[in-house]
Amino acid sequence: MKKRYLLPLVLFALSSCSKDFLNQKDPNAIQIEDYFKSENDVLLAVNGLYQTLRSGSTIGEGSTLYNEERSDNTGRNDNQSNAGEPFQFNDFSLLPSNTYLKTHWAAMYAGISRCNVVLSHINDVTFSSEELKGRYVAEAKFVRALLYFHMVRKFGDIPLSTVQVTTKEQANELAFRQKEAVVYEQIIKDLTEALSSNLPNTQKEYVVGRTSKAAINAILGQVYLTLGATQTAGSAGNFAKAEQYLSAAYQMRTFGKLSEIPYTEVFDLTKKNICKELVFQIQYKQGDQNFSSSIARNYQAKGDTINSKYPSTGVGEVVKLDLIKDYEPQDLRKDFSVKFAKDPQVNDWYVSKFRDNSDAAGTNGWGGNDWILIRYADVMLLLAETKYHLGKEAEAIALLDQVRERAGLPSYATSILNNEYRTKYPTVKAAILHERRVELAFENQRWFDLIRNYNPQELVTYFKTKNQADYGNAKISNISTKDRYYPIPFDEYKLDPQRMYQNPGY
Amino acid sequence: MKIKANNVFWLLCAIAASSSAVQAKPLTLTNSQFLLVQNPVRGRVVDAQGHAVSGATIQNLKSKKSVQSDEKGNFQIDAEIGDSLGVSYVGFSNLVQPIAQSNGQLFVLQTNENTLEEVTISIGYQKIRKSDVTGAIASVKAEELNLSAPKLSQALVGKVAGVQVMQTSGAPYDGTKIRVRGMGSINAGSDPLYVIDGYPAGNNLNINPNDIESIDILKDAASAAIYGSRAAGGVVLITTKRGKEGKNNVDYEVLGGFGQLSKKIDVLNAEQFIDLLIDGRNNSYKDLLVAKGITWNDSRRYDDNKTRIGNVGNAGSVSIPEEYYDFATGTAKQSKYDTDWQDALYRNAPFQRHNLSTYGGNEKNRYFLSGSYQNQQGIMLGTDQKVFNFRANIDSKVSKRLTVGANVSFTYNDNNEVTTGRYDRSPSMAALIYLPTLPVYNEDGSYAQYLMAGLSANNYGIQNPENPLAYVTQVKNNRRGKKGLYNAFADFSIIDGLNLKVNGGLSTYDEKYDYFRPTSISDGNNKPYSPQAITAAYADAKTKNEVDKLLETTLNYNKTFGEKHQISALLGYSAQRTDFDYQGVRANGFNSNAIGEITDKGADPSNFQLLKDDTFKRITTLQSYFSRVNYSFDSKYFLSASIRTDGSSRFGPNNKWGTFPSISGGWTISKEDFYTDWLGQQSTLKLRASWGRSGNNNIREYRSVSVFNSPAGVILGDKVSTAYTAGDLYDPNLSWETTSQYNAGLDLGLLKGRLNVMANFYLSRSFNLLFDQPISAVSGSTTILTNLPDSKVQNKGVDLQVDATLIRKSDFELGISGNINVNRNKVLDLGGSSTILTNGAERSYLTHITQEGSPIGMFYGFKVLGVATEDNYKTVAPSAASSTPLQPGDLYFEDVDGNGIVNDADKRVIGNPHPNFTYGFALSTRYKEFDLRASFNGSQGNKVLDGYDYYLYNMEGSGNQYADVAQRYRSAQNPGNGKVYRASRGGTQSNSTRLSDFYLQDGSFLRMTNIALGYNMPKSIAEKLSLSGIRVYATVDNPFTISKYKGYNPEPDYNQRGNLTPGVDYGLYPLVRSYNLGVKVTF
Repeated sequence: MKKRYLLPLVLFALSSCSKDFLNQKDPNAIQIEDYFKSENDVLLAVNGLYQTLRSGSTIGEGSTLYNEERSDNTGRNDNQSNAGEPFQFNDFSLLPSNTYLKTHWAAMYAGISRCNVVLSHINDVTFSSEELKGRYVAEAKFVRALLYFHMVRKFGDIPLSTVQVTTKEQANELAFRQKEAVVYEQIIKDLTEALSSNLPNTQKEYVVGRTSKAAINAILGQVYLTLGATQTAGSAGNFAKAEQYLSAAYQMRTFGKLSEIPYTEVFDLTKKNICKELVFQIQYKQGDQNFSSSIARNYQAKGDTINSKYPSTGVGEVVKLDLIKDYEPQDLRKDFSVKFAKDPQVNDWYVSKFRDNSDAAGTNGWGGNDWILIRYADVMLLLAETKYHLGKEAEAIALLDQVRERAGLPSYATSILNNEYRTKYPTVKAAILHERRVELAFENQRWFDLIRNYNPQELVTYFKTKNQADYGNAKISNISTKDRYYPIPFDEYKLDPQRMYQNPGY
Repeated sequence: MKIKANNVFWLLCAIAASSSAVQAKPLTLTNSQFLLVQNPVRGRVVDAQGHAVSGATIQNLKSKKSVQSDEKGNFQIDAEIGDSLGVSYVGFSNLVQPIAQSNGQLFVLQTNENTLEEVTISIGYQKIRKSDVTGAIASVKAEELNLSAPKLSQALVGKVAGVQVMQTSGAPYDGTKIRVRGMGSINAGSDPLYVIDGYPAGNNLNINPNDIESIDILKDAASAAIYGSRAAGGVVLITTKRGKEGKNNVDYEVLGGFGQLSKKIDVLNAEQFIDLLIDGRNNSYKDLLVAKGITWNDSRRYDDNKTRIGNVGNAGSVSIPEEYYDFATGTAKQSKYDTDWQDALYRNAPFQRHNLSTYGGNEKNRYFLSGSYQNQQGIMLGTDQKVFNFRANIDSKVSKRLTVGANVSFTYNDNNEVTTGRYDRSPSMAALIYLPTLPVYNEDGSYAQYLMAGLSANNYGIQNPENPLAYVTQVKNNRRGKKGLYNAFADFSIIDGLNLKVNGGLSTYDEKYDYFRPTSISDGNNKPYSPQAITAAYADAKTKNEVDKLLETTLNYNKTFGEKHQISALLGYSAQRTDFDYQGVRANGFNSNAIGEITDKGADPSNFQLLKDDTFKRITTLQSYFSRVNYSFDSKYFLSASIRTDGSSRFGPNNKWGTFPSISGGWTISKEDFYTDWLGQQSTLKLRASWGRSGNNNIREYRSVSVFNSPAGVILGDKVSTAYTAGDLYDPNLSWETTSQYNAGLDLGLLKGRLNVMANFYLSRSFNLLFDQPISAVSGSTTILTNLPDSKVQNKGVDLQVDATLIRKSDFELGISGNINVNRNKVLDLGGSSTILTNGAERSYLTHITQEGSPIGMFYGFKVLGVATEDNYKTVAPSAASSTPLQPGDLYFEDVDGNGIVNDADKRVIGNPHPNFTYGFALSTRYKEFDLRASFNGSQGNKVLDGYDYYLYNMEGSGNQYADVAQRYRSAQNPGNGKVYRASRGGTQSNSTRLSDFYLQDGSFLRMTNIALGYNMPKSIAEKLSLSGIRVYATVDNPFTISKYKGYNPEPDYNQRGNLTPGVDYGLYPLVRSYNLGVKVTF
């Protein structure tokens, strides 16, 4: 009687437990430790590194806030939007607690850590050819070096990690600021090693949007130039190396003279996959709601449709009068790069350099502009700057003249006879800096150019000579030597105030 | 049949009226000793009011024979005079009474509510007598609930000491928030665990309030520890009604009424708004000119927009729409409209509920069946909810040793919802900031759309919400959910006192959510039907599929030794697994609004996308062993101990298992010989003490192993390529958060049980806190969910419950009950983690601080010293972050460190979001057939950050503002009320983009949550209608709230943005005041 009922109950009670009941794996995602199995897995993870670069919080289009809007080229007059935080960059009133600053810092390190994951696991996979593996390694090292190069220039001493972080304890150990020199050593190491791969010389020989030896050389050259210009020790050697790598990049070009490529063609969407000037770019897809560029529509001011068919309602990307006044008369680049919005509710200059008002982009402004990270005018002017430092003034001027010629401007030798030009740009160095400003305006080069060419005190002096009325609502008088570097984001500093010491003045 | 039904009717009335400790004196029996011994004996069972009790069990204690009373309460049993009869019936105290007469003797049963004896309460897996309780358990019976409330949880508001039930939203589909004894966690959820008839069932509580028999809330950790790792937020045990032996009953109840906006917010009218707009623009123009070194003179006010923009740019800050300003004279133009947007958006919304239940049974089988339908329109246009409920609870005694049963319930709800939050998705917020100068309708009667956004698109610095009426009526937002709970059990008595119970069940939840944003809604600054509005149109279709399986085996042992030693022991095992399967897709490319489903998307395949956050499978499992022993001696001394071991799939491989012990004891002093009624005649006194440990595993699954993100896209070689990126760093050592709590309690029964007091003192400490700990970005993440070692959060407090019967006469009763909870929260140790700063409002800046030595989530910012005057504005410390120099009329802040500038270092705690105390009380009275009950709740001393004020109180004139903005500073001659700072569209020293105590408000309130008047029709009338009983009643929910708070509802939602940012009111659906009439008919 008893057993008749008891037995089924007990059986029922015991029948449910299986051994792995408590060990549940995420059915939607691959564990990092299980991911790397085939060559294709590595390829997709390397694609992921390029994907990181697309973000406006790293160095993609829309990352203007962290470069150009810090400089004297652009900047917002609106001190209200988003609690006035973006305004702080231009206003030199940047606080360590600025959330945009932290977002940038975090996104850059997230990208670096993704590179570290790939490099830490690439040996798990057996490759059909060592060359292929070498390429992927080179690409990962290039992206890592590029991100560190941006960071070290903006923040100075920064934490350096080249391994995958798997525990919070490990993260705490790595979270201390290393001297700029140490970071630069790692950048040079990565780039030099990347050069030893069998990557093609140009992206067109590989895949547009991926790196190439020309791109690696260009960055490595710029690294040495920056070191030479900003570090007193070993500057001669650094300039020599800069010349070596920038020349190597220059030699990899597939055109003769720069004037073969009209300025407007550099930004011409229909040429973006074949334009010989482009060395490395982040690609966007016209008309695609997920992968299109929005730079053309975002930069456009109300009342105009030159950038995009999108009907803008704001002021667009505001250009400082200070830059407008820096264009020489007859400079072909001016009318292409900037425009005055006549709409009574705007009444100001905006950036018109990035245009896609095609039907394919449409009234949604789904543009196809690629975001150019390296192009030959940049490489040539960097090389000119290097040669100037090495005392090779004639070679520097030759390069400078190529850029000026394309812009429809007289040669340096002619221009320097012009009183206004000579007053404004009394040295070859000043002339190159000026040329870079107008040639590469809005391409996120200006802030780096300024901090490479001026030490902190010179930087302050340079800004203070400017006319406030040409500068908009941001206050020039706020600048001080502290502004050479961004502050370490407050949250990061707070984790360890000793080892993550704050930059002076913040 | 009629008569029998009458009995039940009166029984129901008796139960309903007995909530305030009804204990009428027993009717005196007329003892007649002269009658001859007869066989059989006839008698009658009645309740205290003299109404018949049918179905009562009458046992001759000598012969052990038993019979049941009939519809009139009459019974007949073989017995002799002098024999003792035992009479028992559910809901009444057992009665033992000797037979004094062979015919017509009355056996009067006393209802057992609110007596310390015999009432049983659920303690999880077992029930015990209330008098045996050693922990802190709050019990609420169905009669005490406000059942006209559309939601069960709303019915609980203010009823239970130490349990804060908050009405945070008036949306028909939103529930309330429940917090038991403060916040112990900083990152993990703090919701209690809900257990319905023994089934731990998540917190989707669309249960029919009419099905509830009782609710028991395990407040202290010792009581809750039997639920182990899920119990740190307390446990709410819900028991539904079951069939009773006796006749079959049918109840039908209908309730109908309407709801309305419980409070209207005072905002500026059209004239005042235009004045603000002009004032703000001119002030901004002045500030910007002065900053550029251009001198200001008053004639600049006549500058037209073009001149203004030419001088300083910033069109949005300095230009004024021509229709509002006469530039030639510098004066305001009159507005054509003066719209009250709240009047337009809110309506009187009808409500109806039908409930039919039938229950009954015999010795072998018992049943309870119910069905209900509820249709509630929201007070906001376009919102409503329909709910269908069905329940069947069956018990069957298969044999002497085996009982089986099943609980089946099913709920279907169909909601039309609105979004909340920022003004562009929250119609309630949009209705407040929408300009009063704009009309609701066009002349043709259609909604006037895009008017405010049009001003925005023209750079006039105006916010751009769409007409909220157009928004709520055109946007589709529908959710349909099906919740089923299917539970069966078998209880087998192995030997006397030892039972094996197997409980197995399935809980399912299926949901379909459809959203459609049509092309007829403006998209920010773009017109309805513009290409951008067409692009912005989208449809979401989301499905949720959840299946939860439970298997539970328990062994129960109950035994009394030597009369006085009573032991009850429990041993159990349970395994529970929940599978989540969610999908979400979004469709774009809509060219018409005719269909509004994902199927009508544009042809391009890229118009379909997977919503990553809404598409996943997850499994969570929990395996547990538990045991409890209760021992009591002579009903005087009580001892109880429990232990539970839980293993959870949510945690890292090294930390899967946790153990949660508890121990508690009680001493009923009043049963001691030495007690001798020193607190009064028939007084009772009991002391309790407990300690226990409970856990919190309220975190998402799979947070202990790092994974790759879902693939993203990158363009390489002009083609979309798939890209994999490594995801955030997860902690392989992730484990429980643990709460350890001491509780000491006192139960007092005074004045013959007419005054009952239950007091509890508790001290709880949570440690190993789960926290999104900031981590260096070198890890690839900025935070990691981890346990903070050595971290401790303390809650200590008192909760006190008092129930008093002031008057108890046969025709008139008056009772009062009240409760109060004082809780003090404090972070003792953050385990080496530094101070936690969080932002809790629509602001990128920080609003809350959590630091050692103070409560979680204190408001953090600047202290306002006053409004700067012509005399002092050059001498008080200016603010570092502001681009505009301090002017008269700006707020100025305390410069704590005295360095002459107000910056981050001068921020400090400026307010406490936690109340000094919360309380509730109720009055109930009955006069003859009429009864009246009024319930109140309140909170005292907490501050609220009004999230609306980012728009409603910024003096910018970019949208409408609170009415007291008219009292702002204008000039030295016209300084306003001395509190509200000057108008300016641009950044001023005092702007709303930082938190100062200017933006904190007193959140104290006292609310009448419900008042209900009922009338039970005399039996004679009911009988004429062939019914057993009729009750009619009228109720008002939330009739009034006394509070200084300017917004809709001072009761903020703690859940909205997590525990670290309490006390923020942000864009929610306003509360409803509702009026209802109901009729309940018993057949």
